[in-house]
Amino acid sequence: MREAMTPLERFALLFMDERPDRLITAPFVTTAAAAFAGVSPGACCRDGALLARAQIAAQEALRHDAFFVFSDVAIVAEAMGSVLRFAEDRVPLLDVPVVREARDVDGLPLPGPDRGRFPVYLEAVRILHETRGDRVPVFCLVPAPFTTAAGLRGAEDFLVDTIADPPLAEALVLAAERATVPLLDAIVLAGGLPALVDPLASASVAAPKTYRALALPGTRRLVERLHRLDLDVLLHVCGEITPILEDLAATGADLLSFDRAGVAEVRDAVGDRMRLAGNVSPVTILSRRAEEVLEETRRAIREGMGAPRGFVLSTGCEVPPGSPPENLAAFYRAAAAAGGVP
Amino acid sequence: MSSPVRIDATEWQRRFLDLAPETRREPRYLRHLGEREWAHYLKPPSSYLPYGFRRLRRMRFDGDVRALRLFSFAMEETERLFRAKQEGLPVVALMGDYGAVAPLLGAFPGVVTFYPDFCYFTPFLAESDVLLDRAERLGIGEDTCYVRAAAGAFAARANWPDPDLVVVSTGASCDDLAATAQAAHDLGHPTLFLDIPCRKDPAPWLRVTRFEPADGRPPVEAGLVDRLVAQYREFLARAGEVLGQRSDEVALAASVSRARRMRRTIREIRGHLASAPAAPLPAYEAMLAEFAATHGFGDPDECEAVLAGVRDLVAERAAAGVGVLPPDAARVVWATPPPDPLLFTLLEDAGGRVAGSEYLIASALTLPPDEPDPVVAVARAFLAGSLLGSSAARAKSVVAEVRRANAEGVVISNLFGSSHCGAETPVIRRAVEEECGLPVLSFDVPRPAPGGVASQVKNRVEAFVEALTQRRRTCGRP
Repeated sequence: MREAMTPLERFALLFMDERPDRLITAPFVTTAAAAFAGVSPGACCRDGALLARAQIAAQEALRHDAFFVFSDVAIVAEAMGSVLRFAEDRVPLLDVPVVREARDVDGLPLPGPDRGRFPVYLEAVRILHETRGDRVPVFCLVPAPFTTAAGLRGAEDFLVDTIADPPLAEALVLAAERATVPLLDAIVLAGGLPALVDPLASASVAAPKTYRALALPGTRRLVERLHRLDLDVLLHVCGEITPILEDLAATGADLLSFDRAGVAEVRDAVGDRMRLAGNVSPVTILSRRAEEVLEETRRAIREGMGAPRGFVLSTGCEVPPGSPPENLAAFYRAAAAAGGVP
Repeated sequence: MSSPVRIDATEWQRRFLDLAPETRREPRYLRHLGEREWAHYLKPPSSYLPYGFRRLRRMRFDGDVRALRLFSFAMEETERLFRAKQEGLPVVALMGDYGAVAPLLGAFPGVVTFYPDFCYFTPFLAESDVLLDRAERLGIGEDTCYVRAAAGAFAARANWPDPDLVVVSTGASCDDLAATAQAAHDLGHPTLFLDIPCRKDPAPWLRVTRFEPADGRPPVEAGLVDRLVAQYREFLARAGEVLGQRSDEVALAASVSRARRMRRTIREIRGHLASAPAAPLPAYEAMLAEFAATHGFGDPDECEAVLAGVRDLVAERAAAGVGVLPPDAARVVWATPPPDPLLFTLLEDAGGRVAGSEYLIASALTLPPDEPDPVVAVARAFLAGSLLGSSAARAKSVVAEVRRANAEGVVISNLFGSSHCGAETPVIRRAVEEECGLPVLSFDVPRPAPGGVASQVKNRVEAFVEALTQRRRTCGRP
């Protein structure tokens, strides 16, 4: 009698270039998880125990294959001094960036794992690892340096810097990279798999040459650091990625999670070097009919299953809070029909 | 040589990230395949935490890179097996025999062996019921010892690739293993069964000549050697059919020679562990070194290099009179391998030291004698094994180990569900108490649970070490 694998076993096999027993299904149920635990998204962002509780509640209800510890992409910038605005019904937003002018960069702190809301993440990772870590992988989503740099400076000013003052932009990215390292190390020790998210670096926001010059080097160094520990690295980039596909492969990341690109296109371009995760649109899940979700999910599976190094059915970005239950159900129904979550 | 020290996963990660790249990347497995990115295996304990090995966060490890290499070489066996299979190498699962079949399979170059039995440790390293629960659903429940985890692993096919062949040794072996092996067989893997003869009371029709091993282990009977040799020859022919290869006698001789070299190295390590004033290696790494003797963790060539490094490490420390534990640590012999390695950390933190061991794998530690026929050499060594004699014979081995290690006490870690463990403990206890006058601590290793060892066991281990220390004050040092 064959037994079903655990999600952790599935991912372990994927990372060894083996086929797991079924389609790995790991949508980014992050902020949306709060509702499954009956708590507010805002509270989860400030309380690691609640964040873990929400992840467990969502995973038990939906039975997907991964935990994702995440609140927002400003968490490293906040630990370095940027001020965020919190609210109960949503994740925090950048309020006051810490870098107003170039000379502020020199005074940026190198935060230890006890700074800002790092302890929130680490507590959530620790709880998930202690309670479910023998069967479900705990991914902890950390902003890549380029995205953190935007949180230090303010997205608009930073993007202007990339053109008008590249040395400043580079200094910001380097500072962000240095500040990210202790968090990554601490996540591993807490039992999590650090994953890098870089929404600001997508071709929807920055030019490909900007990605190459500013985002790629720091991301590659962080991936290399995690590879030193022989960890498998998930890199998530929302938005348009087609023009930077080769650059994303050049980061060395093991699993590319992407948003706006055809799965077949990504598969054909970099599928021989990276495992792929994608990419049902959160917009579809939030605002279209269930039939459309079903069809889009089916298409992603159809195109992804041929990926030479493996495929994870996921969403292109976070599952939006308030997504119609029937749409979420349609996503999981398509996954189940393809041998995914039961 | 840096100061020997035991460190935790946090400290190892910090040190590891500062290692020179050439140090990190030098150890590689399956080297004969050429450069492969996945073959670099040196990594710190923390690297295994995200993949579910939660116990590692609570343990302490040797702080030297050579000991880390042994640890990660053993931990990487799962990936090594999958990679070997991807490269087209035949993968063979061995069950119930320790130390005979792996050298024999050296007759088929390229074959990679492993012991599903060693899944025994996995539920504890992961602090997890997953494998045990699966075994239970297969009908192998708590009346079978933790080795049943292997059945759970077979059922999910995530711990190793589907083996090309399963070799199950039954008879005078652990009966729990036989039950577990049956589950593997039921899953449809090609399986060959070997019958291990009981060393005690050979049948009258056997030609009996006593064979006295030079290392003081119990004598064996030549008739049994003949019987095993015939069986091994038949096995090689049958295995060749399944694997689609002809047995290569030159490769077989080389394989047995390599096993002899490895065992000699392990013997040197064990010698230092017993005689050095301060423990030159923590008990966990020492146990891994012993278990390497069974099959070289599937890559005997690399294993030789790993063991040589550990041998040099302990020799250097012994010569310098330094160790990973204080010189006054209470010396114990540990009988039966504890599935929960945290017990070693616990003993060492409490002031104890494992100076000798009887981990039921004596058959893998015995040097194959220098025989013209390598199959005869393997058979003779195998018959010195721990599992195929009487309980009295095993007790005698423990007593011999106590004397060799100049021990102050004996710890026996029993396993729930293991019939021979339970039956042997009183026999061993009586022998140690009567022949050596030493105290014995025996306990059942509880089912794995997050958070560490059950407080009851923890208290007993700590109290035992304390009692040994007290005893030393009244009776003097050994």
